Amino acid sequence: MNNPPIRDEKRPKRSLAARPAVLAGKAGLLAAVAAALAQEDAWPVALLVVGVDDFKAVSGNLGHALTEKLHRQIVERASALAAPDWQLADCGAGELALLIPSTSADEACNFARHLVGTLGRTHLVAGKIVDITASAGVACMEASRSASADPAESVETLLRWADLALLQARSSGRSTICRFDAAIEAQFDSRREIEADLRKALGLRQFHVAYQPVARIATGRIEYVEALVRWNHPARGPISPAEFIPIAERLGLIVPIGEWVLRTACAEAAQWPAHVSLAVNVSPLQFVQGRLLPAVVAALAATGLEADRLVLEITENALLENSAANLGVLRALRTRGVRIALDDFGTGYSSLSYLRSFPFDKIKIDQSFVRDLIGRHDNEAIVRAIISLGAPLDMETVAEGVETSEQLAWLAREGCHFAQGYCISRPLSDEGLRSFLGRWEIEDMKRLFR
Amino acid sequence: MTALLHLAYYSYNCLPGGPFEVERQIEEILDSARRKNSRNGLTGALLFNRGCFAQVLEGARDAIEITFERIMQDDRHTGVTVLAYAPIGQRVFGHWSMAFIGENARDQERFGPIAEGSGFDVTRMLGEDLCRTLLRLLREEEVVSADR
Repeated sequence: MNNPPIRDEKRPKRSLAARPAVLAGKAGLLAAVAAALAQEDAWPVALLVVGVDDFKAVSGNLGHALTEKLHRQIVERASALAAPDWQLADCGAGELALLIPSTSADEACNFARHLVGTLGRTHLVAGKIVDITASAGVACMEASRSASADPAESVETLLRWADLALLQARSSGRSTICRFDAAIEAQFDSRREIEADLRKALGLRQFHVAYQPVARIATGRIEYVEALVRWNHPARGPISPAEFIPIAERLGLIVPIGEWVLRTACAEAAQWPAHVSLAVNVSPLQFVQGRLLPAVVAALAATGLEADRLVLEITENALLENSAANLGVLRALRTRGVRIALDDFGTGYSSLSYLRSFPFDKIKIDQSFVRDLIGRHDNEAIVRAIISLGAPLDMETVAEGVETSEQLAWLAREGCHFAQGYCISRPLSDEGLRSFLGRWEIEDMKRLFR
Repeated sequence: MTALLHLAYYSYNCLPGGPFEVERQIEEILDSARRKNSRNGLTGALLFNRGCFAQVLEGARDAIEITFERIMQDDRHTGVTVLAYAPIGQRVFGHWSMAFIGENARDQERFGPIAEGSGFDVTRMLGEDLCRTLLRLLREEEVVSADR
């Protein structure tokens, strides 16, 4: 990094005159980056983008005038730290960019760390104490790259790299810095593609529902079947729900996808023998805007499935926010005969107060405890505790991820009510399930115990 | 007359260099702050020891904010915590001064004269809760943070 000029021998501080040039917004920055890349002795060029974390919340709290003042103070503070041969662009909204010539990525990152620390120190703004954090993204362009590529494209690329690095820094928390590398770009490209494809997937009918049977351990009967959404991507093949459900939730797509699964599975379940119920997963986001209740009522009416053959599986997340309103929705569903199961119990916060907040019909014991059940003293103790917790509360327990006869026998001994997992059946297609239901006999279950 | 505010903060000292270098910088800080503060109508006290700085500044809002911003841009301290920033009825301090507050005998010998030279009056500090708290904090953190 270029050493800042020393104003006098006593204090290594920069004078006002020796501050970096301030560029006129984004346009000025583009021109400056182009100029720096064109100048061989400026290579490698680093671009540092720094911004206030959660700026919307900051400006919401401060109001427009004070936010403006804070923003100017941030630009001023950054400018005081920068060397005079750097260039600074005020990008507005708590963001600024610094163009650093003839540096290395390591040096630029060291400065970024210093800058983020300094910007995160307390600000006094018009009589108020304002505490913020800032994060930074750093991208560096080597001589070889800038020489070979089209200049305009190189400018775009460097700006994009720095922006991606800032996004990446923000995704890992506050007050962080991140240096761009190819893996970050690949990850963002892949995420952006998945997002774009996910938006089209419902319309293109790329989702389908898989059905996994759940057996009552004591009788061996298949009492219900869990509907599981699957996405078969035309190019990438099957994409795990663990990957695409969080994206769908972030994009708000989970509501239409969830409603489609509900309708599709209800129509299918209406064809099953009357003693087989259907379980459908519900995302916490489906509760918002009061859409869940009408969606369930409409799906039941359209398909003719009886309400008491539908189980909705919710996770504790549905009870974390808006819990009063969401509990109201659950009660209204239950009044209509729909049953409610608490999914993934034992992971997350798993507050026992959830069990008191609503009379769940079923508690599903998370598969992470069941998978390594045998011979693991700790898992055995946890599963046993959940089972014994459910009984007096009139909540039946369901073990997920049951893979072996040994696990099944253990669960039977401990009084667990239901088993779901490869031991009974893997998730099946709609046809596969119908043939399974026709074939499955109680004897099959007994055979598993032998 | 513009409204009067006071600001109190403390931070951890990271003056680089050996004892002589530190002494020189302390003197430099004192010199520069005294000049600027008197020009800007700021009164108060800067307390320090090997571990910490703690400062009370009194004056007009803009003067305090401009000065504080300069302090925030200074790398010679870290972990700044603002303890108070609020309007006050009247000044506690008659001017701006600086004092070494601590038990370390050698530092006491080295920096003690600064307090006298700057007209530091500890009775003013003891007259107010906030200032008393700052004094206590500084004494407690002297050793703790010198080890950092």
